[in-house]
Amino acid sequence: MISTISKLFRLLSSDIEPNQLSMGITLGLIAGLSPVLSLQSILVLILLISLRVNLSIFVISLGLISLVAFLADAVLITIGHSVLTMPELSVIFTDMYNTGLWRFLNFNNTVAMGSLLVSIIAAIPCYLLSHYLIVKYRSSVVEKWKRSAIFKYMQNSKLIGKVAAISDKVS
Amino acid sequence: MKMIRTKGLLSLFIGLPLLLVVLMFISGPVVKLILESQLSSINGAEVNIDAVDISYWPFTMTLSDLQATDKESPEQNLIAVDKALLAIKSESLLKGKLVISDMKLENIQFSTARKSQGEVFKNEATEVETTEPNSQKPGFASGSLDLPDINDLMNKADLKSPAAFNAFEEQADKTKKSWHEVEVFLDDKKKWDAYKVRYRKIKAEYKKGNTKQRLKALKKLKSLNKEIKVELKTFSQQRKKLKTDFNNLKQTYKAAKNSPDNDLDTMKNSYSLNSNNLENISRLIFDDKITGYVSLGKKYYKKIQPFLESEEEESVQTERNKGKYVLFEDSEPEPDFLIEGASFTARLHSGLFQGTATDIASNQKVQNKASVMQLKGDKLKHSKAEEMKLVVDVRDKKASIVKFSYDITARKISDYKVAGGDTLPLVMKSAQLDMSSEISLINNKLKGNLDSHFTHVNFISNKDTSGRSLSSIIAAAFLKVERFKIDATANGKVLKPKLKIKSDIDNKINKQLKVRLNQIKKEYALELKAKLKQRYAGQLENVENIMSGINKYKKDLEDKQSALENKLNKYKK
Repeated sequence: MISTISKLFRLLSSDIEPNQLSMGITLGLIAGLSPVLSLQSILVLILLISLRVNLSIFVISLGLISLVAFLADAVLITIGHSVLTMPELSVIFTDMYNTGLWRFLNFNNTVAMGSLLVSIIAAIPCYLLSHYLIVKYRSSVVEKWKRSAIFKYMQNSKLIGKVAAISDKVS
Repeated sequence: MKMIRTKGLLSLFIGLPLLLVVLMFISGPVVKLILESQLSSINGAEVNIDAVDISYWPFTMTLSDLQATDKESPEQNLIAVDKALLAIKSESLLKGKLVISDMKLENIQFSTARKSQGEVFKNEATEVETTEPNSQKPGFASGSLDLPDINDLMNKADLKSPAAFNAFEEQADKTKKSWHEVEVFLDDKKKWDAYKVRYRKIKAEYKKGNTKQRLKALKKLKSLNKEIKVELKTFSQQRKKLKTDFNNLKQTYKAAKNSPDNDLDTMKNSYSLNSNNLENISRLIFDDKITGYVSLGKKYYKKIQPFLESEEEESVQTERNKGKYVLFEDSEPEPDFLIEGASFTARLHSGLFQGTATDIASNQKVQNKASVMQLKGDKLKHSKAEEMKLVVDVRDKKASIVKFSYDITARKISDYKVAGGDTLPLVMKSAQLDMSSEISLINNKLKGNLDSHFTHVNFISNKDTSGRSLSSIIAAAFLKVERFKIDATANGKVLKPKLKIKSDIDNKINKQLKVRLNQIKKEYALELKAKLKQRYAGQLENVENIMSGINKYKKDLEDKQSALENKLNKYKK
């Protein structure tokens, strides 16, 4: 857990483009909320392969979201159930229900539908927010830290350099 | 900054199809391994498939040389199929349902030898077959109805003939003694001569004498007549006595003469020989066979019982990320597992059968159709045709219906062991069987009937059919049966059915038995009569001799009496 957090901070402090990281966090959020076999999971997979998304931050995001996703289950199921049982959409859903591919993608599952809707709604805000926060973090926290006396001391200390090297090897 | 990952896109558009192609190539062996593992687990013993070929457009799967080891006998297969072709609906597969639109099974064979012994997986709990204790069945209690040995019977019987012979002899002696007095009386020559002398003297006195002397002579004559009258009366009394004595002796003679016949009748009544105890020979003989089939039926019923009774429950999953599935109107509702149509050929012991099966489903309610299986064989090894039909209707689990019919046309039967053992070794050497049977199981209540006609029947038995033991008689009676029917019905609970077996063989056998028993009775009685005659031949001859002597004696006495009567009557004049 500690190494994961340390890795996360290292990624945030690295030279990687903020949009790659925020895209990874967003895709991790979508995948973390969704069941394994769903439309959004397949889309996430395609986007991961075809876009320059940071995979490490995606994995960290997916892991962290999965840990807390069960808390959102009740909400996801309620949303999914309300949408799936909307009379206005029943004709569309009935057509989809009679199509093998949609059934394969579990569209009529309350969790799948709920997570899809939450993902659609949350994806853009999540991307924008994470992008903003990363930029802000780098410009304020990281810059201040780099200018601090402790950082300079640690950068010049041979002992800390060796400990860091050993820690890298071990991790 | 480039947002697109070129290598990723390339891998997506080239790598993914390539991966799919590779998967298509390796899917056959992978599916083979999965199927072998799953089927082995279900079978409880090794299942082998030579190859699995998968075609994706249309989606078909071909299984070659499928062999399922018989776990009871691992050196042979429970079932072997040369080729199984399955056309699977890919659309339904995406919906999570296995729908086989067409299935062709070629050359199904049972109990074929395996090249190598199959592995059997040990079950934790092995089912112990319990056989129901045999209820007391009627056996061939031949001893109770067998004829007794003639000498034994004669020795043990309370024969009246010797006493009758003795009684006659005693009576004859008594008669002789009694008649001896008459003889002595008749042979008293002096007495009878005295009458002659007196008569002549009176006659002379009358001729020569005067009136006074004549009157005196007449007086003497009167006295003589009076005495002669008394003598004649005695003769009459003696004649009556002779007649009475003779008649009495004649009765004793008749009793003695008839006593062997009376003894024969008494002995005949001391043993019985009838076929009343053999009213249901068919049950006695065929009960074991039919009970065997019923036990087999029970065994299979216990295996299918859970499928007939268990109700599929749709569970609502509430685990993490599982959610619930909202169901919409299905334009083509399908159960989770369905075989829409199947055709197969099966090589059984009796020949090649062709069969069809329709609507075999995990849930019949979905399609609202019952499962139907038919199997038909023509020009078989032993019969002209055989047809089986099974209808399983479990749409309403509380009123499930299972119907099974089995018809046989002109089945040749040879060397069928009907009854074994030393008591009644009986074999149906040859026969032709036409049979129709139907069993229905409605709401766990059994109703079944079987009509079978046996024609051109030829029974054989190594039992001495000329013997007099019951088993020999039955064996002999069977040998004359050329055709018979057996009707069986079963009703009630599946595991405790009430069986009724009816056959006209009972009447036929009983008819034959009665004829044979009467014949045996006559033979036996004749033998007994001859034996009695032989035993009492001397005594009977003695009786005849005595009677003949008595007859002669009586005649002599009567002749003497007549002669004396004539003489005395002369003197009376």
